[in-house]
Amino acid sequence: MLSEQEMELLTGYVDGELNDRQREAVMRLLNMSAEAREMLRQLQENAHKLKQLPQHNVEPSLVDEILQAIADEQAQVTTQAPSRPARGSWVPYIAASLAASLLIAAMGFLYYKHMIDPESPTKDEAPFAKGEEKKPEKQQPGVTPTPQPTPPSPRKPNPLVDHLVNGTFDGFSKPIPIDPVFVARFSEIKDGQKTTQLAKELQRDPIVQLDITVKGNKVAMDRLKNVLRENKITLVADASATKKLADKTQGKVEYVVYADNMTSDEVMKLMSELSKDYVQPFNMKQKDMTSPYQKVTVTPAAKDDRQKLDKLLGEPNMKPAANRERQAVVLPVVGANPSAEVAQFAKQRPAPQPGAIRLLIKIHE
Amino acid sequence: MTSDDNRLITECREGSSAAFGALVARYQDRLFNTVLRLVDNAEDARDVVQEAFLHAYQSLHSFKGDSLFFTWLYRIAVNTAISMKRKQRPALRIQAGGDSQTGLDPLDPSETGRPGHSIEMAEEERKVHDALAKLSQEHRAVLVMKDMEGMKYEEMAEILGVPIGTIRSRLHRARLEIRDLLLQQEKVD
Repeated sequence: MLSEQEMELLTGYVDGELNDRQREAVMRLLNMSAEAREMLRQLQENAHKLKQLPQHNVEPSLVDEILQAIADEQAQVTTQAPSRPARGSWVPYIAASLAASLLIAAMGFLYYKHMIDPESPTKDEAPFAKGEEKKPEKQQPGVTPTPQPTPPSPRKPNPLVDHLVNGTFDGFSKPIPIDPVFVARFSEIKDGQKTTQLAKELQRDPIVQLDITVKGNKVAMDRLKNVLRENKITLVADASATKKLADKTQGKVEYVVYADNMTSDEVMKLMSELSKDYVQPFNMKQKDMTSPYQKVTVTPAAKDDRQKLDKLLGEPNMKPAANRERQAVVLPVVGANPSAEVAQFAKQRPAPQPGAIRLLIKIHE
Repeated sequence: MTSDDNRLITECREGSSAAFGALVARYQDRLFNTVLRLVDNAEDARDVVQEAFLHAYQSLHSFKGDSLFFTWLYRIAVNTAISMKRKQRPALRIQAGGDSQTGLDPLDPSETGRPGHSIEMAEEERKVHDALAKLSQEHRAVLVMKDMEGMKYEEMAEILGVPIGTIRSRLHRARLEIRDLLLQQEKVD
């Protein structure tokens, strides 16, 4: 019968959190006790079962729901504007009171002036519309004109005020606009459900970022390389990225691929190819492979990414790219200095073509 | 990935909801899979993930960047799931025979070649899920974090707000408990 302390050593061993001394103690225990060996086998098997539980995707994606909920909440906050002024917010009220007092004083003065000198036109009686002048009334000699009561003129709309008022109320009634994010599963691209939207997204900005989730970085990068090659584009990789890809225990790494002068048709074709299952040579045979590409988010590239790209690759070569092979590049992984492959790519960059897309692909598990 | 998260967070704080959408798109599946094992079904898991993201958005100003964004988000989601389970009163569930309790579609048969493999996998998933469901929230959470997410004691302690020693002893008890439950199931089968 194993003691509590021995059991704790075994569970700690499965957790992978023992120090050297404790690990040695476990080894001794396993050498001595068949019960300990059986217990460890069961514990490890159960941990493995938990680890192997299938991964499920959120279907449908939560992005739209969450963004809508945020927009609704913001709209609610706007309509429920605070009725109680915040501490220290009395300054605008005083300013408004002063402005109102000045306005009343000015109107009083004009009214007084008008009463004592009715013939002097006030601003209210000044020309009302563009191109229309108030004609002076003809006075008959010897006849003192009797002041006629002025009929109330309909209120002339002030376009500025109307615009402000309408604008304000329009703002209340309309939902707060949200920037849509285009997210698609590769299965939706394969089925053609989201191809039209994807094509539109690719037109939004000259530098497009594809944030792609994959199942297995290595398989995904190999697949990308092959698909690009089929489209006559060679994928060169920074040495740090090549080294990382060869590392089986690489963990969470994001690979960034960059390509110049892509047309939207080329990108659509690329995405369509990546979404499909394929066949790969394996030990002199053909092996059926499921596409490792799962999900893509399309956005214009961020400002700091553009700056980083410009800093890393410099200006493109402005000479015509006659007969030069087209290339895409896997950029250095975080923290690595660019290798000769990147420098070579930067040197050979062709002149940008009008209407072409600069493509930044971020691939991660 | 971290620098990209930071960039998106900065854009969120500047008012870009699209940037937050990108963060949701990036982490929703990973979070969903964890939460799914902490609650009883996909519908509840979806609600918890949604609530966690909304809470994160509202509290983004308080995110100081001392930990990774995902760790911070994960903490919100795990605590939301645990508190949701505590609030739920025990209720009888009517289950259709043979259906997976998770409420998820069966696995895609194309993933494996052998006929019947996906059914076996779904059955295995059901057994493990049932066993997990019988554990306390505390035990369930540490097992999921350790075995599914591969977290270290230290990270788990930070997320759950308890000392490392507590994590160690919880995991110890949880491992023994789930072992007993799975052994019992084997005997029944």
